[in-house]
Amino acid sequence: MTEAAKIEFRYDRMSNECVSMDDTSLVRKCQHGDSNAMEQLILKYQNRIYNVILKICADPDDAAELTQETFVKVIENIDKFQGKSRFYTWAFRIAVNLTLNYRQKNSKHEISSLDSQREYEETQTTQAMKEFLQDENSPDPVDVAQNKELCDLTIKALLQLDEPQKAVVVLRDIEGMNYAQIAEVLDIELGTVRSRLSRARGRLREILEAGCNDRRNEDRRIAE
Amino acid sequence: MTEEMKTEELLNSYIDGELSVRQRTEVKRMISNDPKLAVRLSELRKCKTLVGALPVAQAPSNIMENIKATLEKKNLIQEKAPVRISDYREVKTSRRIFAAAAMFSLTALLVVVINMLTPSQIGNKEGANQFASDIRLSGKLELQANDLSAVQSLISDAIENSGFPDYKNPQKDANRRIYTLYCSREGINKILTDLEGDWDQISSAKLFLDTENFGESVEIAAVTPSQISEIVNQKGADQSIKVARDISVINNLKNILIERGLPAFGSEINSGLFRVPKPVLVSRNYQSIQQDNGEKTIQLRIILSR
Repeated sequence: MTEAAKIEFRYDRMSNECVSMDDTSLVRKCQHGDSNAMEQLILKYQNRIYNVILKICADPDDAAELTQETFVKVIENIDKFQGKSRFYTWAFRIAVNLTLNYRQKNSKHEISSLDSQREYEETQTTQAMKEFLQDENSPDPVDVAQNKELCDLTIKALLQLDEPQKAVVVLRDIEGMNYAQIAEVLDIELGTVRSRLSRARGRLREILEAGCNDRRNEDRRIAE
Repeated sequence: MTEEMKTEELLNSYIDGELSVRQRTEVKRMISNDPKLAVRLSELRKCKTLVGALPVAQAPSNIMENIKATLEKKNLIQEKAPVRISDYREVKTSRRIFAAAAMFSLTALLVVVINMLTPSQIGNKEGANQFASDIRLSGKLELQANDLSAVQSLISDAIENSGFPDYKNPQKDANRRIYTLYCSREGINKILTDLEGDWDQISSAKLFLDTENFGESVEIAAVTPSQISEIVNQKGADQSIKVARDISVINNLKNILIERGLPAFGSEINSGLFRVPKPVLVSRNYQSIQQDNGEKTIQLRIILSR
């Protein structure tokens, strides 16, 4: 099973209803005014789109509103969708654009982001993260997922990336898109995806490392 | 870009499975020769694992409801929006600009005529099977009439006579009647043909044709049934929008000239120099309508008011 297929399976299990019909048929039905088909498309993608938006904007209320807005735009423009790209990337493009624009316009998020950064720098990085980063063996994703501390710290570290970097990381590592799909969703060159993702992961690693070092220094001071 | 950055990108692409076989082999060789690179690769993998393992949150259960509510609200607002005064009324131009605009409109007219007279060439370029089923047109036709009930009755009859009894009853509010049609090109043409003889009872007719850019539409003032047919009968949505833009220029120019009191020129317009050919001239296009198998590819909202 490919990475993208695994992610799809993970979301399908969460859907209230298993949507078996392919997107092309559903979109075609929507274009002919079939509201059931539109509901199926919403059910199929609502969790995935909500998750991507949530990981970028970090506010569940904003994420819910932006998800709704995404689907409203999808419905309003479904007649103009000509199938030149996949519905999936087209819908995500709308979602990510809305989210990035929203983030750009709303300064309150910058404040909350700074707050979360401060909070992280002051108090965070636990033994669990230290052990995880120092462990020479390959980590088991299931173990990581079950470790709430690690997940919380990763979310906080992710929040410190700038928006474009956050978007590529989320689309790649959470949504499982390949580079070509990311380029299409963000309307950037493939080379830009590579470089942005590389810088983003490097920065993420730095943030996590810095937290560990701060903690180590603090432990040393206490011991002295 | 530094060597280090290049290596970093290569490692990231490696863990994401975005390298060719040759590149993968090269990365494997680099890792086996350089323990630092192997450590770096392991670090990047861990970052990827950490982010990928984040829990998946479930979207709120009321999303569907809220989407429906938003759409309903939006529709209401859109329907209550006041009719926009055409830009051309605010434009102040000299006679020289009129002359230039006249030249432009003649060119536009020429383009329309060429497009109509050479449908087969366009068809060859785009592929014969592309046009009918691919067309997606939506728009709004704003009509004003002094005798609202008489025109309402004409429209309802035209809709019913054309084989769409389901759409014949409009939504009503104090001063407006709203018909939402979802039908084939053939259906729209039938309705327009039926209405053409009574068009003089309509004091103002404006067509707003949606374009592919969200929220952008082409506005055609003083539109006639034959012009609407002309737009609808084009081979694809892009072509329809192009023709709509041409007609918009022509109609606006015609109105400007008449308003500016250029009777001689105006009369030439009325006598046919600027007249947009009717669909009956484009027989080959009309034949193409027969091939769309009645597929509902057009959504038109007719808003009638005083």
